Amino acid sequence: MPAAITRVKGKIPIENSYTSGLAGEKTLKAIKEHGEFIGTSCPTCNWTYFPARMFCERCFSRILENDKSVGPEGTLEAVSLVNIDQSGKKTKPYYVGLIKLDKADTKLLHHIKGAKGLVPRPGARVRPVFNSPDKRRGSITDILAFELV
Amino acid sequence: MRKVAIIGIGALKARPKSPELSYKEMTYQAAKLAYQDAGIDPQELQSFVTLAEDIHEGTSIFDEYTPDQLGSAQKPMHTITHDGLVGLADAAMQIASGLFDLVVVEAHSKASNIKNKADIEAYALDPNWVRPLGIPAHALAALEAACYIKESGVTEEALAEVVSKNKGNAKSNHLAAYPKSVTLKDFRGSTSRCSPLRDIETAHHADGACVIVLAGEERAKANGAIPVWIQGFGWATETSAIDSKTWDKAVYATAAAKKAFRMAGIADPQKEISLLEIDDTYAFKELQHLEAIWIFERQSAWKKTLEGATAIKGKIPVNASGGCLGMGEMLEAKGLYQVHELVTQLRGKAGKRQVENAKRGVALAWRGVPTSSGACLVLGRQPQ
Ligand SMILES: [Zn+2]
Repeated sequence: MPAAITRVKGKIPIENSYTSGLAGEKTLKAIKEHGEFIGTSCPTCNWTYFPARMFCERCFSRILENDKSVGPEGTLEAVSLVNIDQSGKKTKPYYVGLIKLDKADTKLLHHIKGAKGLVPRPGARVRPVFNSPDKRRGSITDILAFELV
Repeated sequence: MRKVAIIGIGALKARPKSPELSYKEMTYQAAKLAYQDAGIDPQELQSFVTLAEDIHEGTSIFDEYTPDQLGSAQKPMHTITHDGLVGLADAAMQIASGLFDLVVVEAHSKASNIKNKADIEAYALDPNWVRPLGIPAHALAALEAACYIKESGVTEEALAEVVSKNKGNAKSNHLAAYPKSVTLKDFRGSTSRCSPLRDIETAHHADGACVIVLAGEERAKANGAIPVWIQGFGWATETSAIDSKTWDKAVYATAAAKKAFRMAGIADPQKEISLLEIDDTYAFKELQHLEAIWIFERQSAWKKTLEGATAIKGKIPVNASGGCLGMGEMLEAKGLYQVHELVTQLRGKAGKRQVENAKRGVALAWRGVPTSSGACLVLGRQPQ
C-alpha cells in the first residue's frame, strides 16, 4: 500500500536586530565600561527600574534623565534548578534566579552560581560576576552570573 | 447595551496529534457542529473573529488564511493575537453595539505541527534582557511557581490534588486529550525540567478547534436552542516586562475579573458563582487564579482544594472539564474550550460531570509564559 501523504515540511530563518534604545544603552554602557548597574528612578512613584527605562510604566512620566545606581549586590527572591536548554534539550543542571538588586524595585533574571557545597536559596545574598572588560560586548551576558556572597 | 447570548457551540475532540486533518478542515468541522447546534444557516452569519498567532501557525499574516473555513467569504472578519476569551468579548461588543446580530468566534490549535515549541516559547522572551541568557521559557513558569509556593504555603499534596482532580474529571469528558488517574506517588515520582515544577503538573499541548456562535437578544430568543447569556467580560495585562511584573500573584486575573464581575453584577464571588473553568496550564496557576479572583482568601485555595471544595460535587467546582491539564493546552483556543464546557454545564448537558444546579459560570484564561495577560468571562442561564 502506498504511504499516506499527510504533510509537507517548511522552515524559514528568522533574524532580527533589537534596538537597545536610549535607556537600554545607558544600562549596557555602564555594565560594559564600568561594571556598574545604572537604572532610572521615578520620583512620583518612588520606584526604581533596572534595566533603565525612558518612562515610568506606572505614571507615564519621563524618567530617562533620572539615573540611579543600584546593586551591585542583591537578594535572591526565587531559584529554579534547570535541566534543559532554551530549545528544551537536556543539559547539565544549572541554577537561575530572580534577584532583587539593592536599591532597585524591579527583579532581574539571571544565572546563579552555587558556591562549593552551597545550594542557592531564596533570601541568599548574591553579587555579580562580570566578564573581563576586554570581552564585554554591551549585553546582559556581560554579567556571567550572580554568585553567592 | 443590548444583551448577548451564546446560541451555538462546536468543538473537536482534543488530541495529541491530528495528522489526517489540516487546521482548516478542523475549523470547518467545528463550525459545522456549532452552526448545527445553533440551528442556523451559515448564510445568516454576519461577522467573524479568529484568534491566532502567526508563529504558532507557521505562516506570517495568518489573518489572510481565515475566512473560508467559517463560511465567511466576503464578510467582515478579523484576527486577534490573544486568547479565545478576548475574541468572545470582541464578538459580544459587536452585537451589544448594535452593529451585528450574529457573530462567530473561532480558535484552534495545531500544536503538533510545531516542531520546535521550546524555541518558539523562547522567541517570546525579551530579546534584549532575557533571551540572550539562554534560559528556557519554562524556567520562568518555574520561578513563578516558586514565588507562589512561598507566598501561599501550598503543599505538594495540594498540587497533586489539582492534577488528580483535573485529569480525573477529564475521564468523563469525551473532548479531553489527557484523562488519567493520578496518585500522590505518581506526582512525587514525576521528573522536573525546571524545579520546583514537576512535569506532571504541566499541561501538554493538544490539537483541536472550537467555534462559538453569538446572537443578540431578540435573535437568541427566537432561536430554538437554549441561550446562555454573556453577563460580563474583562481583560487585562499587568505589564510586558518580567522585571516589573508581580511574580507571586496573578494581578492580571484580578484586574480582568474585577471588570467582568462588575458588569455581571456579582458582589460576592464566593456565593454567586456555580462553577469555574480556570487556567491551569500549571497546577499552581489554578490555585493562584482562584485567590486572584476572590473565590478563596489568600493562602487558602490549596486547603480548600484538599477539602474537596473544587471537586465536581464540591461547593464550587473548578475545571469540571479537566482544565488544561486534562483537556490539553490548546494555544489560542484555551478560553473557547472553557466556554464550551460552561455552556454545556449551564444547559445541563454535561452528563456524568454535570454540576448540580449550575446557574452561573466563570471562565478565566491566561496567555501563558512569559505574559502577565488574562481574560475573564461570566456566563449565566439568565441575562443577568
Ligand atoms: Zn512613576
